[in-house]
Amino acid sequence: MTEPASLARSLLEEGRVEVVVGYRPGTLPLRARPHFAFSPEQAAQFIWDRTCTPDLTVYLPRLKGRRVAVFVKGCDARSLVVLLQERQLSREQLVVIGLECPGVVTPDKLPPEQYQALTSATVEGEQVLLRGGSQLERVPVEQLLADPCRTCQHPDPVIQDYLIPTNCGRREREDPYGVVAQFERLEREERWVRLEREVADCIGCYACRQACPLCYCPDCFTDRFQPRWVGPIWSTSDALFFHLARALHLAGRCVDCGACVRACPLGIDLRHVYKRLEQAVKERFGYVPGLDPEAPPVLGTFRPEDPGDFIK
Amino acid sequence: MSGDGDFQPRVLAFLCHWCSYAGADLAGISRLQYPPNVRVVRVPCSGAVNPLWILKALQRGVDGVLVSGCHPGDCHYLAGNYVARRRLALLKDLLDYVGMEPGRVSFSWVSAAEGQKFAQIIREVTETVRALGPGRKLVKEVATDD
Amino acid sequence: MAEAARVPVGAVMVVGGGIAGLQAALDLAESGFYVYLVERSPSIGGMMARLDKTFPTNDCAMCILSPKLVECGRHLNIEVLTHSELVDLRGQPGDFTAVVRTAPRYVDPEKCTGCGDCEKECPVRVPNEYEGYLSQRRAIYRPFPQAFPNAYSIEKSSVPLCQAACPSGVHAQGYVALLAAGKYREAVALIKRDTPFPAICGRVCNHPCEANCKRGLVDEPVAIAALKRFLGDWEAATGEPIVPDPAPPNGKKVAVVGGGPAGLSCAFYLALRGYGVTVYEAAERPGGMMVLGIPAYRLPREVLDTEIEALRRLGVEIRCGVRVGEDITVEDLRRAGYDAYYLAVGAHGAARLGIPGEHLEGVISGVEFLRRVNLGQPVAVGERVAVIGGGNVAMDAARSALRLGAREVWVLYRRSRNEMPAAPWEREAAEAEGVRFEYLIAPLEVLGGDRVVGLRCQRMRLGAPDASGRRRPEPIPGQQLEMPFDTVIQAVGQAPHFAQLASSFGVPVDSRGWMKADVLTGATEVPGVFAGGDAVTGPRTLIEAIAAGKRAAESIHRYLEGRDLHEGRQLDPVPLVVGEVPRGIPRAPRARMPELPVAERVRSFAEVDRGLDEEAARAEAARCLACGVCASCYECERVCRAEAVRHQDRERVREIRVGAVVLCPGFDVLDARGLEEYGLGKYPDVVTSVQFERILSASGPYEGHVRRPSDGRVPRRIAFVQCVGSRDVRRGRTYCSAVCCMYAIKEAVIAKEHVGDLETTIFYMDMRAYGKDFEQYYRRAREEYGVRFVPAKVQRVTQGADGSLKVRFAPEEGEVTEEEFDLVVLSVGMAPEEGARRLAERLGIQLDEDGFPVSPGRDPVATSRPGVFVCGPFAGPKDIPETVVEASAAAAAAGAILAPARGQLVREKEYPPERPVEHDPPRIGVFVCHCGINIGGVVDVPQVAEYARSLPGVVYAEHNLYTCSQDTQQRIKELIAEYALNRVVVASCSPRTHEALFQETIREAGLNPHLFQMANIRDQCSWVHMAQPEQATAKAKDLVRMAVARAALLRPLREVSVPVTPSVLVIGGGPAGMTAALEVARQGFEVHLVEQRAELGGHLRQLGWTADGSDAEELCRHLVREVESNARIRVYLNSQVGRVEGFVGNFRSLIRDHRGHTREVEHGAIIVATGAVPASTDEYLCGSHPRVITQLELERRLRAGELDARRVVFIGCVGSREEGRPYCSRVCCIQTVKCALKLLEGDGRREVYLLYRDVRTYGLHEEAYRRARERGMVCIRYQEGSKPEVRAEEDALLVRCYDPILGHSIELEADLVVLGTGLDPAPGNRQLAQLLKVPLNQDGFFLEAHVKLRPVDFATDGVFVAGTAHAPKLLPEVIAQAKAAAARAVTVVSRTHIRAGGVVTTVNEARCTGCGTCESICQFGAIKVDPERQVARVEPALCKGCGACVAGCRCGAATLQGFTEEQIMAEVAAL
Repeated sequence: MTEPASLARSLLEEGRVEVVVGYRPGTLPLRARPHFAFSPEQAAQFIWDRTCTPDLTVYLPRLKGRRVAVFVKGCDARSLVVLLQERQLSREQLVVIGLECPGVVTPDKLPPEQYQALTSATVEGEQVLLRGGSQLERVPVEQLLADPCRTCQHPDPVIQDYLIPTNCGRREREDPYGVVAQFERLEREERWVRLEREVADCIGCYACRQACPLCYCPDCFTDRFQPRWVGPIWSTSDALFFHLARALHLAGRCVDCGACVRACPLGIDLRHVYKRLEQAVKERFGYVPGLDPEAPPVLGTFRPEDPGDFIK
Repeated sequence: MSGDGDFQPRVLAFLCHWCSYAGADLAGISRLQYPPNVRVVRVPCSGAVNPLWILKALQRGVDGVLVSGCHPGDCHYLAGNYVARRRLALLKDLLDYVGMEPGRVSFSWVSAAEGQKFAQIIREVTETVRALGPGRKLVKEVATDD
Repeated sequence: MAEAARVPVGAVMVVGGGIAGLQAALDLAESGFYVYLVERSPSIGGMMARLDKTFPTNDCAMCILSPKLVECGRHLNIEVLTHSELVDLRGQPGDFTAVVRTAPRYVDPEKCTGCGDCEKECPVRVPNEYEGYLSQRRAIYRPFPQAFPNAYSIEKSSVPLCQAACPSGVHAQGYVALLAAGKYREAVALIKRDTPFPAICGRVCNHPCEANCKRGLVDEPVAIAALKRFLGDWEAATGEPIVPDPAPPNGKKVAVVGGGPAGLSCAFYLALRGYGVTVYEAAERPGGMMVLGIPAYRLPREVLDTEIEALRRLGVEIRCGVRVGEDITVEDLRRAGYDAYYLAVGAHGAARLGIPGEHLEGVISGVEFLRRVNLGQPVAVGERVAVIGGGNVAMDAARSALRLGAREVWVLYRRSRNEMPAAPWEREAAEAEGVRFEYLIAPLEVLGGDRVVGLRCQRMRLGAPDASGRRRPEPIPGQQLEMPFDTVIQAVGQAPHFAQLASSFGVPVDSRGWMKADVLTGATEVPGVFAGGDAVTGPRTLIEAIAAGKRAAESIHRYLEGRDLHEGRQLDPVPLVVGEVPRGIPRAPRARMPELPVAERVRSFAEVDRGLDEEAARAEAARCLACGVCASCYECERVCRAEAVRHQDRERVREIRVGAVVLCPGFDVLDARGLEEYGLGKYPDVVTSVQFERILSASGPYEGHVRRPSDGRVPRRIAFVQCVGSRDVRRGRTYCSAVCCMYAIKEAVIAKEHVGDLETTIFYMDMRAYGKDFEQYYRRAREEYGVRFVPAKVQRVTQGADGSLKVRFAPEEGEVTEEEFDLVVLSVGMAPEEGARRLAERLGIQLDEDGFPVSPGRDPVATSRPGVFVCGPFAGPKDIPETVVEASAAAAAAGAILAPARGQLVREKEYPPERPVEHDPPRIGVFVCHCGINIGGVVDVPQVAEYARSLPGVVYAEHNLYTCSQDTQQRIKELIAEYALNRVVVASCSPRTHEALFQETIREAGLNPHLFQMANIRDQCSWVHMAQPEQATAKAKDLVRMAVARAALLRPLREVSVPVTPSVLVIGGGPAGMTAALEVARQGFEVHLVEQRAELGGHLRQLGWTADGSDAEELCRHLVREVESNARIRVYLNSQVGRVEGFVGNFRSLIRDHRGHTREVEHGAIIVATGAVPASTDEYLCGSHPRVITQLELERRLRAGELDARRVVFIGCVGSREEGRPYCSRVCCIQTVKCALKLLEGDGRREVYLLYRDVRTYGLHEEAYRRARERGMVCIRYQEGSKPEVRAEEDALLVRCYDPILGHSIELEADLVVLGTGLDPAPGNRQLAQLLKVPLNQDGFFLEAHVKLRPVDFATDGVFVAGTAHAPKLLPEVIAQAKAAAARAVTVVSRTHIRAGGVVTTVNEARCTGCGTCESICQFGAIKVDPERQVARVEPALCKGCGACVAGCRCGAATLQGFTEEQIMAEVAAL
């Protein structure tokens, strides 16, 4: 078994890469944070456990032109594939360290008061040990598992040069579109009301966009003025426009890493909307994003026999 | 308001130059009568239609949007309509999913020879949108500069 | 052979405006030659314009054709001559003089806006040939809405027979048609152009119109007179005479002497021209013979009075009871200051027989008798009245006498009934009323003392004919008799009575006393004095008198204007062109007027005929066959605001100098009505495939709903009958029409798409799906669509009692069967166009026995006359892509002759410099068009213009009657200058048809053409909201507001010139590559020819003979020699293309030879001609048994004379048309038949068997197949699932197969088994495709840009394909395609520069992430991510401006110029 730290160290020592992007323990409980190691020494801090939630590929376009090694879980690897597909990265300059992923936890699942009271937390097997002062509580990992992990279909990186295996057990893969089906069971009007209510809090901070590894445009449509798509006076309508347009921009690309949801300061969760488009792309075009770096962009290609039932 | 017989919806139609716009012209030449609710924006190809335009039109209070292009295989630019079909399929699925009324946004293939079909589609779209009532969802009340 | 002119003429005439003509014209015009495109019909477009979808892609034919029509029509260097025919060609290649005859269009295409107002008003309905006669069109028409020129034309086959027969030329077809359409007022007005008296003529005219009516050839003539009478009565009932507004008084005065029909008619037409007219009438009331000669029971006096009263209302003064020369002298008249005189005093004297007793009391002349009766003067009539004479006067006298109380009235006539000059209906009426007739009797003496007591008469008989053609009566000796009468009326003729009057005017009379005057003009010897009517001609009919008066009015008008009296006038009768009698017209009896009962009518002078009621009149009018097509009712002229209609158009003949001629007049479909077994023309639900195309078409007669013509029901079962008029030895039509199999499949498939549970059955002989991707289409039709294919010959189609059609057919296996269908479609074959045959004769083009041009040598587009080339189905049956290929090949052939004259005659437009306006605030001018009443009749146009003025940025707005008219263009230019406009908006019709025109105008005014925007307030507003003027106006305002909002954001778009490298890279040195290289070189350009092998020749080296039997080796040697000796061709052997960079006009490629040496060449275009390879197989023991060989091997052995086989079994489709190689290789069947013929010719005892699935000897190759069968080739069909088996047993080679005709398996012992293995794509295709960024199809052949219309182009500009690299094909087809590719490449390299830019995508690099989505979307290779800089770059020369990449660009980096998101969103925001 290759430890993250030792692998990173050797890559740096051998001069195969200039920088390794990975995780180190965070200052807040259950939140590992990104770590950039430029020297073999800095590699010692790398960890890999179920708190390593962030998708590190978001940093890669900014490191373009440098030789980089990156730690990727299943979902991150898929982001990476999309970035490669879209020529944002050059495979030759990348060393991909795959992490077999049993699913990661997110403290967002805890009530905020409970999380604020924590002093530390650790994951042991399928248990999370939560310490708040002298209090110690054990909760099953299941309870804190990030939503995407519950339905993750490709927990093992689809692309890697090295693989760090997991010793955790594998989860049953849930129906990836359960959230979609659940929402779809609502009446049409109710769905719109729910959506409106969900985005009504949005303040247009674009944290979701910043966190997304696939939102790499230098000028987002939100920033453009000719024509102006959103604003300047922010309203729910603008929030709706922004989120729907963003969903369309990520259709056939989003790999369900969950970064946007985690990044939102107001807890807006539109993951099911993204899942719906993922489902549509799969059903209509037989395409799943993030698996084949050679595939043409799904919206940049077509098949004559694509379904056209919706067209009169 | 909904279902009000006096309601005259405003419908925006993006028509590709080579087929659907020609089909609309043919409907005119043939004097086929249809409701006066549609305003046409001519585009070179249905493949040129950005789904964001449709969202924007809805946001601006347009009551219905139609996108019409060449039949599969007929595209003057070989495959613009195929590319459009993918994009618009996803837009349609998205709008359906989030609860936009069905028929608020519609799509058709109309060839240069299908004046009759064009007129029929306009009748259908207009009546559908009329039945839906004025567009409310996504409409931005605050005036903005553009 | 004539020698080519030294300096050729740089122009080409292309004859035929179908798809072949369009392609040839465009290729030539794009290569620097001026083109005259000569088309016989009113529009270019040809047969393709009538098709619904095209196989095998199911593209909409019109969608792909109409842009070509526009492109061709607008091309600065293509002159489209419609309605035109090439009638003679003199001179030699390079310098011909072509004589072109242009038939009149009757509409000025420059002025016609195509609005269609005329069409709505045209009352004539004729079968619509464009719609396969399944619907009707008008006489003024446009064949189809997308026609070019977008102008109407009028079809006039001849002057309508009725009109031609009328002495006054009354527009009978016209008013009948208007009546049928319920347009009574217009009908009356039309009649009055030629006679002032509709109600009178409708009653008493002898109506020669009816005698000549074409309907009489079908059943009975149309009751034209009765219809005219209906109209006259209708007019009278309105109480207001319908006359055109007279011209303002011109101060001149004319005296008319004589108030009869001639005088009054002259007065009427003079008064209309503004003359002051006085009529002097001797009698107490006006009307002349109309009142004095015709009894009231035929012409009621109030009818007469009403129509004469109309003259008075026009200002004509009628002075009755004034005898000129007696009551008023000629001197008096002269003093009254008349400028001219018209003498029309008639013939009121009575002729006499000159027999004894004429002076007795009781003897009276017919003229005198009728005058008295008609004036109400006393006249004594006895009990027994004799009327002598057989004319109409006699009839009138006899019938009047009856009414006056005579007990018996006898008409005595000296000839027989047949010679009687009276109108038959008059005689019949008299007979009905009881008048007795005695024929062949002549009075000799009136008997009596003071009073008449009787007549002594002589019996007559008929002798030899006299001068009038009637048999002369002669007395029968000894047969005299006496008859008792108390009254004798002599109705034996009229005589002049005006000697005194004539002499007082100084007008001489002839020996018989008639006035001398020019019959045409009415002019006498005395200046200013005109004469006409009976006084000049002697007694004639009413309508002749009216005609004379009408002519005199014209003469007097000319005389007083000092113009020539004769110019443009003639009296010769208009030729009566009867033409073909239409078939299939249901018989309908002629309307009969009700009559007063005899008992009533003999008691009074009440009118006998009671007239038709409205319903009967309209029904009768509908019987008109519209034999002249156009009825000359002038309704189109009346409603055309653009004043484009010109009925006076004449044929024109032009001589045009050209250097070469391309003939592509197309084809006719076989007229299957002659093949009676199929019932076409007999059963309405048997239709031709062309009709079925129209039935399927969304714009067709049934709007795309599949229905039966008979009852409009949706058919459930449709049968397609193949080979109708093709492969028909019995009728001498032996060739295969090449396209029917595929179009039948297509029609069956499309029909199934239209009608859910439709069953379609195709009865066929061989399913000839031989073209690229055809076999796959055939398979899908079978397997996915469930089209049923039955190999069977249809024997007969009959109709059952229930209307269903019974198709009787003989299947390959089993008994003759009959099945029921609802609709039968006959797949009619292609026949050489009839006019084309005559054209060929005139031009001296040799035709073969089937009627196709003989092509000398190996040139598929050459004819027997040098400099004249052919292409398309005229050269032999073929489908669209091959037609397009040949058209380009013909362009290449013409270009090869004319290369020295390239650029000599082409025009280029000069413009003033563009005004820089980018940085100026918008100053928008808005022009709102009325389009006559097309917009203005619905939309409140002035209000829209007013509204436009209020919009931001608009500094000027106005409205125009026609914004597209020439004067408005001038005005727009002036206003641009006057108001410093920098954006222009036109609110009118469709930008598809008119944008280019307005862009041109503003460009001429110094504005960039892209600073223009249109709002379509006609096609998408006024025309489609006709009943909602308010909403239409509101919508028009919205559309203008949107256009203005967008216009404010328009930016000038500039094009750049990119220089072109004038050379071509040809990849592949086989027959295609060599031919292409030679053609390009002949046109004067350098060629780099790259061949991977060590020698040129390719596949041709392996072939023995070509399909036409000529020596392949010789051909190969010949080509190689020509290539090697051509100084412009550089050959690279053992070489391959290693890298290709650049774009159209500017390629740079690396050529690498087998030693690794490289060389970079620059070139403007690329032709891919890498060929295909013969497929190999191990089936049927091939490769393991020495006597199982491939076709190529057979050819080799045949040539080498190594063949020693008695029984040869060919097996077709080996490895083809099945999994692994699903396509048909097209060549094998024909090669097989070719070899079979060689085998059979070589040795009479040889046996040849062909085991086949379908024998695909398409087109003219059918002949060879027929010959082979004649010589004994045995053909046995096998099915895909039950292939033959070949096995070797000791020495024997055994072939086992099932014979469907025998119904059991047979085994043949073969000496040789020959396998048709087909062609595989060249193995290097994939690599080359990647190199050139061009696609392959699923089989691995190169995929052209469009399978129908761009068969040698790739989507990537500047790259072309030819030969078997594209798909398997025969050598002549390879040659044609190679020439075509050369022609297409020359359109690129013949230009010094190409224009790039305009409406293209641009990339903002700061925004671009280089994600490559755009690159993936673009089908043209126009946008690519630059790997160095990681941004997308557009090659504007390749960009087509579709915007698909822009919509796919998330980053907003890509912008489509002219359609920016900002502009589009401005439109949306303005909504």
